[in-house]
Amino acid sequence: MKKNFDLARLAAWLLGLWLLLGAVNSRADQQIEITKQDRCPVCGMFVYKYPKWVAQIYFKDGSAYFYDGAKDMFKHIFNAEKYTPGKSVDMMTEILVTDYYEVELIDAKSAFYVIGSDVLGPMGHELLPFKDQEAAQEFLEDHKGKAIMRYQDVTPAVIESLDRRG
Amino acid sequence: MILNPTVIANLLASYVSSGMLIYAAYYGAQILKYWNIESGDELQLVLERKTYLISTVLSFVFGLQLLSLFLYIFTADALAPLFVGAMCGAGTLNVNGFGYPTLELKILNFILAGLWLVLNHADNQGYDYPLIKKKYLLLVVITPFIAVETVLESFYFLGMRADVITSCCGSLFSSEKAEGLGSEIASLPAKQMLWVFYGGMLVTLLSGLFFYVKRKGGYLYAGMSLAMFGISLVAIVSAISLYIYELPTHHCPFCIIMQDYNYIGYLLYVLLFGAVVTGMGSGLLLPFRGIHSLKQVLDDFIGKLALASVLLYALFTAVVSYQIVSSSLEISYEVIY
Repeated sequence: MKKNFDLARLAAWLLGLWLLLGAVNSRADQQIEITKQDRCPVCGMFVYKYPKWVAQIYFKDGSAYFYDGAKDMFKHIFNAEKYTPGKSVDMMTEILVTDYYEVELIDAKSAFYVIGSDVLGPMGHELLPFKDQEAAQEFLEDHKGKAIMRYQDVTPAVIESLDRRG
Repeated sequence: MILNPTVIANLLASYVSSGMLIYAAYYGAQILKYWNIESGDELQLVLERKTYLISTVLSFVFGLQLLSLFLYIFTADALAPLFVGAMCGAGTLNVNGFGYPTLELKILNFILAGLWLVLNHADNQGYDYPLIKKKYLLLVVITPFIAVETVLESFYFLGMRADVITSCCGSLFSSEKAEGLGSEIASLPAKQMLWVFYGGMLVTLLSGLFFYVKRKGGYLYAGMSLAMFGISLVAIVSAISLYIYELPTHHCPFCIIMQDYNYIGYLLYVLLFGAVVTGMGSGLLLPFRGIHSLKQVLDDFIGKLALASVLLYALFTAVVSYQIVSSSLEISYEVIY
């Protein structure tokens, strides 16, 4: 009986240690797991169904939001008051998108986005994120992309034009 | 066309019921024209024998019609992964212009078919075919609607193309888009809508109970149950769905039927449609209480229908209230978008 108790303590310690070390790591390495309940706050889709398209926004208060594509993530950024009342853009601590080729999370602000390609996301025409210019260029040539954009170039008008193309 | 088992089931169900209905409506018209219970004419004897076959066939056909509404929304939901941009039935129905008109007709036909079944049941209680002409008149009225529904449904399923980018329900039922009925309903203020819903429901339930106990105000209750059906559908889009999704901007009436929401939508819709058919059915039978052969049984049957309707509405309200109370969403601020 005593032995069991010790084992439980040891496990608790290890868990604590792991959490402590984990907390030191950056967010990009240690993500909040997407659960089956997580929905895109913009369109309401279940995000776990489209793991290749996930985009994420973390807020100062520790809350995290998941999107089924970069397009909806931008919609949230452009209209934060609507989708998350009380949480504004400057409260966002981290914005991540999924690299289309590598299928790994990258920083949204340094990513290269290809628009106008023949690859459609769950929500139709999308901005496809890549971590470097070469990958984006290669994709653009392979998939009839129109342009490569940076984070700051994306405006509500760009998003609207993607929706209209449907 | 997309060869999916659910599509084939829908079309088959629709062709089988339309075919049988047209056959039945032909004899229905004959009965309307030549029926004379006093006569011993050969035609009358044929019609008397036929009516048993026809009303049995029709019970099954209209039963199938009731199921087909749910099969249709199930199909729309099941096909959603095939279309880019569709996340639930709302997007699938938007794939071409026939999806929503078919759904609207199916809702109408569900109610009509339910009323016919009520009338048929009442007619079968009397020994002298007391409601036979009314029953076949209603049949002749319903048949064109179901035929049109079959045509629209065929256009919808046969015209489905997989390379269309459809709209997600997030934009079809978005409160910011100015046009479209879905958006207009979605942009109704959620809090006020809940007041209307609960207020209306209270009055409806009270008038239903009053009718059940005192047997007065039956027409009022039938009207109220129809009005409440409409109010409930609007409330689902504008307010109740928000609590189920726990998102302040998601108004879709179709996502709630998904597995991810424990199929709660099917339960809500079954209760709601059951309530309106029984409620209106009780009103439909009111004028026939005086008929001699039905005197003993009809009053009891009407009472049962009214009670069933009140209970279904009460259960619907209970499920809705549970969803609202257990939801993490709080509409404390004014939802005006």
